Amino acid sequence: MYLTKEEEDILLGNKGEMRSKLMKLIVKLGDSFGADKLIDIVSAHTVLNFGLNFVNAAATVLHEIAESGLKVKVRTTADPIIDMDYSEELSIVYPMFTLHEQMMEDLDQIGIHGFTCTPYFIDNKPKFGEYCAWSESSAVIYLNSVLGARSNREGGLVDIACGILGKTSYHGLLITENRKGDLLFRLSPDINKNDLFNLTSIGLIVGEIAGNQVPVIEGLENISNDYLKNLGAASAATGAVALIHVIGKTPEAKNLEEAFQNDKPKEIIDITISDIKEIREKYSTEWNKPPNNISIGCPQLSKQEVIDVINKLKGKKIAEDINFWICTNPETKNSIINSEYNRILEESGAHLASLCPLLTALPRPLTTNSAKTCFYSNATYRNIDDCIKIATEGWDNE
Amino acid sequence: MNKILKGRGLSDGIAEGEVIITSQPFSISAAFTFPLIQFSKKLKVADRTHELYKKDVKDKVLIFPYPIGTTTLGFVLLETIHRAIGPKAIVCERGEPLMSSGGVAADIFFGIQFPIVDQIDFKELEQIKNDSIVRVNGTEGTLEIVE
Repeated sequence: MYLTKEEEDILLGNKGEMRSKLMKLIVKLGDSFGADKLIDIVSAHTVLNFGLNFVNAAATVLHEIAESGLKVKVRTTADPIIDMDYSEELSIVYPMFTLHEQMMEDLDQIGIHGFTCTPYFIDNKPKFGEYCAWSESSAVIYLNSVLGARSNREGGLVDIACGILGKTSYHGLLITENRKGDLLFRLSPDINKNDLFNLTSIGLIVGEIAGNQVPVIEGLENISNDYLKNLGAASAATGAVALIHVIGKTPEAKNLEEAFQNDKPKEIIDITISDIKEIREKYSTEWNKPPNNISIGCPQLSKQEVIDVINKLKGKKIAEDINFWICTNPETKNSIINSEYNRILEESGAHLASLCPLLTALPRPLTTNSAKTCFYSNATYRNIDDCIKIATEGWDNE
Repeated sequence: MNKILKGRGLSDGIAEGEVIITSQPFSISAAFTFPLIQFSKKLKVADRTHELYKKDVKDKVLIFPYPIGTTTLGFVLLETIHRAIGPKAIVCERGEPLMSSGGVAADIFFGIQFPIVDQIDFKELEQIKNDSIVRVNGTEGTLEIVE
């Protein structure tokens, strides 16, 4: 690929050994996938912050980067970390976080802060057309689809390298032609499109069929950004989908012509109610005993979504042997705790947490309304009202 | 003369080993994360939905059509390479940057080469039988069938 004089200097090691290694990583990957240049980015988001005991090699590299004194050049956020407010409830999970403290120190040193899988709800919200280097599949799909900004699915370490250099390689979804729709999904008229449970199930179907292609959905022009967040996260789990166009809703899909860039879809797929039922049966794990954990908020909830769940809990009490998790970003958690909603929350016994909902799986069984959690954590998949019913009225009454 | 298939090199290095092949797309995160957490000496595929479930891929040349899964897969692959409990090389029809990043990072940061080759038609790849010996050259982008 073409490199500017400054980029070449970095690659050759004239700006330090670690900077050169990070540049080599980006250039090698870019060269393999046909990038002809590097491009400036406005923001980055990393998945490399787990602190879990299975990322020793990556944690070693992170520590070396921190020790080299390099800092991120653009706003860089990271995925959620464990929530220390719930040490008792998460006692099974905590011992696995042997690398947590060191990684937090290193991330801080590098200038990475803001721990959430929905960085666009805090201050990392790129604008239409801006280039970014994000990981976290559910965040990348939101960035490309809802915000109309541009990012490939970068990986942990690569995302940090991009954040430090302020650049990524120019290929894939950064290029307009590659954002063209491939497949058209149409929804049968009898599907209730205001029901989130239907929408996340549609997300599972779309991801499974689309793989790494660009799906276009017709018939969801009134979908909210929050609901689209949840649908997209499902597609990014069952497939490698990083961009969904929704006709009449998302910024690059005013109409079919724009979404398909004046071309025709490769295939048209009609989704019916029976497809939705089938996909739920395929991915839901039906446990034969009541859940220990019920997890809401994967991806983490927006403030409005948290308020909606809390309102549903009004006057209800979570069973003592169930942990009912509502996951959101740390800022929203604090703001809710300091609001009138905290009383309802406390009376209900639900836990408002800033952790990754995928960490709420132990001990199993787990029930969730999230298609993504269901996919990754062998969980029972139910709508939000059923989740609350199981939590407050018991398993037998479902 | 041995048969040589030409593809694209995604991660440098040369490795020779026994083939383990599947026609199903492969989720490296779903397959390898659990054995890594368990600090296993072997690498038995932990993905219950995959036909290679419970098969040990340690020291094999792993061949599949294309990778799927989350954005953690790069550092999961890096970890298996660093601990030397994973396959010796990966060959597929369609690679992607996330998977490559694991192999490339192992080379840059730890000096361990892990060849990855893609862009070989799966119709060609599926002719190769399990346990055949192959040599993968990630620098040249070739797969040589040794026996």
